[in-house]
Amino acid sequence: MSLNDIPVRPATVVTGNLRPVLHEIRHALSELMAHGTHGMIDLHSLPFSSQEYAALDEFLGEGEIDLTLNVLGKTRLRESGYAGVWRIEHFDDNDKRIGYFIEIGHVPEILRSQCDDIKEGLAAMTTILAMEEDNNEDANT
Amino acid sequence: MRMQTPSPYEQTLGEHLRSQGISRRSFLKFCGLLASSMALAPSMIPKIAEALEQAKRPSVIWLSFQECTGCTESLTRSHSPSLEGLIFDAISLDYHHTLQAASGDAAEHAREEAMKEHYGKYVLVVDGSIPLDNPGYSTIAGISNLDMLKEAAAGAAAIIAVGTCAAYGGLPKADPNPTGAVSVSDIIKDKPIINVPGCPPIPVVITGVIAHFLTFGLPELDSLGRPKAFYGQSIHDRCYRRPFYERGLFAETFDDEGAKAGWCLYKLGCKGPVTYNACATTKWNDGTSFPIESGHGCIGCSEPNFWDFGGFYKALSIPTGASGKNAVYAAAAGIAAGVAIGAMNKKSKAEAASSHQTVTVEELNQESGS
Ligand code: SF4
Ligand code: SF4
Repeated sequence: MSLNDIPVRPATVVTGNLRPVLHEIRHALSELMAHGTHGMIDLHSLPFSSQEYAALDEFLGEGEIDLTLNVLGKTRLRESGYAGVWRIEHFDDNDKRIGYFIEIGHVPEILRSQCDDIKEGLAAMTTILAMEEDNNEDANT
Repeated sequence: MRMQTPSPYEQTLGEHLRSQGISRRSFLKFCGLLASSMALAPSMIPKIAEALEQAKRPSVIWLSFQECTGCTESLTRSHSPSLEGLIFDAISLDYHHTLQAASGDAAEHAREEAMKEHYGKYVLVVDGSIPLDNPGYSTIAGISNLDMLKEAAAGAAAIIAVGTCAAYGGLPKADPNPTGAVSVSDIIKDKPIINVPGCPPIPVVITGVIAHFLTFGLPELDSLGRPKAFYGQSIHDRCYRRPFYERGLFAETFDDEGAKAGWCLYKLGCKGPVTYNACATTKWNDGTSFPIESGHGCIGCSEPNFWDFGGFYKALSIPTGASGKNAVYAAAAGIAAGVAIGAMNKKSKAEAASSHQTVTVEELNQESGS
């Protein structure tokens, strides 16, 4: 039996946090336009009712991109109907949502390949190519 | 977690996580979740990433005194790879008598070695209260809890008192306090002590405090020695049932229409208005829910002397009714009660033992009558 099977039907709850969040998103979007500032809003640490989550979802709408990353469990990145506004949902290994952010930027931070990873990748690729070439030379002699 | 492995203590936390196959992208996710769990603004994420990347893996000595092991269970039962699991794995846990493989002399030897090698630098974690009436009530390897605490505290950089027992005395100290139980801060006066109360504390709060200590040093504490990042707001402040409280809509029994509609549990004894903890946002069981979501009021487990609050199902005496003013009132009452109990904690053991039913607590527990 899951939590949803228990016959408790909460009446509509309004925490009053939805509108301020919508304005915060709008403000962050205008900051992105004006100064290129990358913005982030943590939705997990705000009391939000399920109705308000749904209303937020409806307000943001769907964009063109819906990506799932495999990083310590899944992470889902969804562009909203407003270009530059992204929903970032972090899940754990059991597909439980453990983090929910709105990011305002050209791409979500986590999507960009990290400089140090690129550096390590380059070193690894160089070593592998050198090893393969060594092996080929050995095979040819 | 690594136990009793000869250093490399020079390895940084970032290096360690990477050696465990955690990519930088995963690390970024980790830092984002960490910031969220520490109630820090997302703009702090790059700073956390940078600081954690550079932080040295700390040596941690964990002492368990009069306790039920619930705090350790809370931490180790979280699913992996959870945030708390990752942090816990990244520390060098050099002594924890429940978790370590070694026993007897070998275990005690590991503790002495770690204390010697990292003198002045290790983090001391304590769960459980310390009995003062008779040292024989609780001993480890024949050493009394009091002696072991004093010895280990002397070389610690900081002490984290995990659980309400270590922080405030907890269940062992509940009236009539048969063992003369006291908290860590009742004994140790010359070291920074971070209280992480809860019965048990939320796992991610335990590791979040460790992470905070590693990245930004000692966290800012409230008057009861709790990190404000996690204990800065009451359950009531962050409760999703709060709109019902404001409108004066209360469940009167656990099965009436109000209960089914998810109304406020205040009249059923909820201690949310005077309890400072992160349950309402961090939640329990991997973020599934917290007690109020399951239809039971908060019992106030992160507050001193919560066992003696008079009854889990007795309503608080704070005026109800629909107004924001009352909410402020409630919060103020919570702070005042906290301060009073905190001051009481500092009194001598004998006084503390006899003052369990304080005026403050009784006041809190008058029937609301409405
Ligand atoms: S009294 Fe309890 S159930 Fe009611 S709003 Fe406050 S914390 Fe939530
Ligand atoms: S809801 Fe209250 S009693 Fe329950 S764990 Fe949280 S602080 Fe403790």
